[in-house]
Amino acid sequence: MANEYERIPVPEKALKGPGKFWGMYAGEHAAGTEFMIGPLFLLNGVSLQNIFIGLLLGNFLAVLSWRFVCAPIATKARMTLYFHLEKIAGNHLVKFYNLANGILFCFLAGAMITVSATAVGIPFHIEMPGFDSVYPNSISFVIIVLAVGAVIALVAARGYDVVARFANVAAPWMVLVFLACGLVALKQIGAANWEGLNQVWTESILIAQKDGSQTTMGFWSVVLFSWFCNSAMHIGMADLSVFRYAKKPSAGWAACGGMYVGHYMAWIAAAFMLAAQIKTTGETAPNPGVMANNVAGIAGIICVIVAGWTTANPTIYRAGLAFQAMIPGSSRTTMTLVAGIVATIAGVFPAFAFKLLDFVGFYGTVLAPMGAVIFADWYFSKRFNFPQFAAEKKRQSLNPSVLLAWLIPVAIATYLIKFMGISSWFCILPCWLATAVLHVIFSKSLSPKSA
Amino acid sequence: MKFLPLIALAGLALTIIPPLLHLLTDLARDTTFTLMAAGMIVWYLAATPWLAFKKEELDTSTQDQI
Repeated sequence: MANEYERIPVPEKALKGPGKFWGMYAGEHAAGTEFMIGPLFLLNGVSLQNIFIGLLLGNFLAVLSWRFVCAPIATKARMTLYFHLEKIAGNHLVKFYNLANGILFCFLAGAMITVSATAVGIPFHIEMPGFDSVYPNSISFVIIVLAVGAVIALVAARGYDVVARFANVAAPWMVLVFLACGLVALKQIGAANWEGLNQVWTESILIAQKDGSQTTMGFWSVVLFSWFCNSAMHIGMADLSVFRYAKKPSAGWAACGGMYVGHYMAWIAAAFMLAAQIKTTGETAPNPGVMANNVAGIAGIICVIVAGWTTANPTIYRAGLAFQAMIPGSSRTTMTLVAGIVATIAGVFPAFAFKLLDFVGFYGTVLAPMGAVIFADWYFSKRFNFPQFAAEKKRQSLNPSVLLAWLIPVAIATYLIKFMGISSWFCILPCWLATAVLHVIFSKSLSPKSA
Repeated sequence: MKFLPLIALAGLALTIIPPLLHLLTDLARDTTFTLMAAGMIVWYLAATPWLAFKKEELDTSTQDQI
């Protein structure tokens, strides 16, 4: 990995043209999660029209966020998220943020272990958990998850490089398998035109939701989910680390590659896979391995295993690094195994995979507001007369202004999500805006006048 | 080594063309799946030596997986 500029701005000689970013985004966003997210739209009662138009708009807003929020700062500051944040928030707060990231990564990896297990279990004829399952449905399923989790954790403990190289090889093929799955699913749906497709889709929702009493995601839910499912990366600024290599902010348009391949084509293809499964078998459980086997055979099964593995593996690796940073003197291998064990235990419970939409929204709610701190510090410090990069200037290891500006909105949002039943994707933008405003207010009020 | 990309692209073609033919013509489902499996094997055999040892030029270590 080209990570030699972790604590210095990327120099002119290391800058890359836009082509590198287009390829990277197209590959990175066709992942194991896509096999779950598309079908979950159907199960949540999203209409076919809202899928096509809502995802078109939401993904466009996500691209705009990369282009006009993240990339301009990245190409001026040319620093990683962590180095940039450390200058504003202090070293200890960055570790705390990284720990939150690591814990959330463990549960994301757990969902991907579940995804892989649904494919590994097919040759063994293991009955898969149903959509409403919170707990595992059989000891066989638990054994498969533990075996898949153990392999993924052990490989992650050995390092990142081999898996990253394998993921690079697999990415173009996986993108085409997603498309192929969608094409075969369309054939199985058997619709001759839009009306026919819409009818099958609507019937699938009715079968999946049985009495029709379940909640329905509307147009704006689809727009906001697709806009903010990567919010930690764009308005959350994690991709400062990527775009610091870009010559111009216009490289931010490269996110189109990821959004319209991974979060448009692949989500819709995966949703069609479930619609085809419901039409042909009446089975409504969104088990990716079973669905892929139905529309692509052995290539589909391998694709689900590879997608789950290449998603879970780096995620566990990064969680291990976050845990290692919190415990001085601990070994990376041990901490990666700890992260792998946590992820595997989470993977035993299918609810983490089947509630992926809520989890991804919560992930954005917690992490994206840190991007608002960077945004406000970058654009408003001079205008509102508070010190930019305050922790670096004051030699603070923890900037209380940032801690409060981050935690207050996140705590309120968590309460609204957990206890008031508000969908997590509605909370991300208000949280981000509130953090930006609070950062300005606290930075002015908590800073000495001379600063 | 120069011909590896061509072989790999043939693997990708075998992955996507049969499903297209399955949708648009009468190509059987089982034949489609077999050709896709063959495409997968061809792709990994040819693309691994072609792509796996390319030097990563961007630090993607903070990329998420969603």
